[in-house]
Amino acid sequence: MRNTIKVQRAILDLTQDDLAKKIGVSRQTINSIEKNRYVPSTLLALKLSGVFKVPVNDFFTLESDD
Amino acid sequence: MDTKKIMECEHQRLKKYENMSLPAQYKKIGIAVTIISFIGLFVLGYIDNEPEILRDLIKKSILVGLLIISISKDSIEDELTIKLRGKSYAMAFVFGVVYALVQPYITYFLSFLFNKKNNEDFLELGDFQLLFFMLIIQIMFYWMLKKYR
Repeated sequence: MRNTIKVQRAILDLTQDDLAKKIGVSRQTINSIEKNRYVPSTLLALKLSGVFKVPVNDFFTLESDD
Repeated sequence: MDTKKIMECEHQRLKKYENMSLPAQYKKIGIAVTIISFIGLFVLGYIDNEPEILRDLIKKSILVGLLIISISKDSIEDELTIKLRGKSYAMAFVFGVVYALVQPYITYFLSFLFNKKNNEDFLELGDFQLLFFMLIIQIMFYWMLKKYR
């Protein structure tokens, strides 16, 4: 799975730490998600969607081997 | 009684054990207990005719200290740390089983290597060493998984 969380973060001018505090996780978790090392839960994805004000499908994309 | 109500009741009971953990502040207490116990064990080595029960108590306090460290939450506990913690427990369990299987052969080899006539020192590798090993492995793996997440 790929994601464009970094782009969405840049649009809102948020640091990883700012975003982490908004959704109640650690900065390292945001970093792991952005680097595709960790796939977040549905709950976390929906929280991100609420912060970015865009649907989950807009910043998470399935890859062909998923 | 309604079957659904019984199942709901059982589910609620099990949920209590799912999040069995201590607040983050307890980690420092666990570290302190472990270090003090190690120092105590070290000092005990220089005392002659110490009561056996004292050694046992100190060993148990080491295990208690490590357990407190193991089940203490992080300052920021989120779904990733919970997942990593679960992985570290699984690894510790597997490594513990392998260690328990292999350890008797290591014991024999060590007693042969050091030419011990009295093998009691090496045979005295029971539950303490296994539990200590598993707790150390869990703490170590959790730290490593967090570092490279």
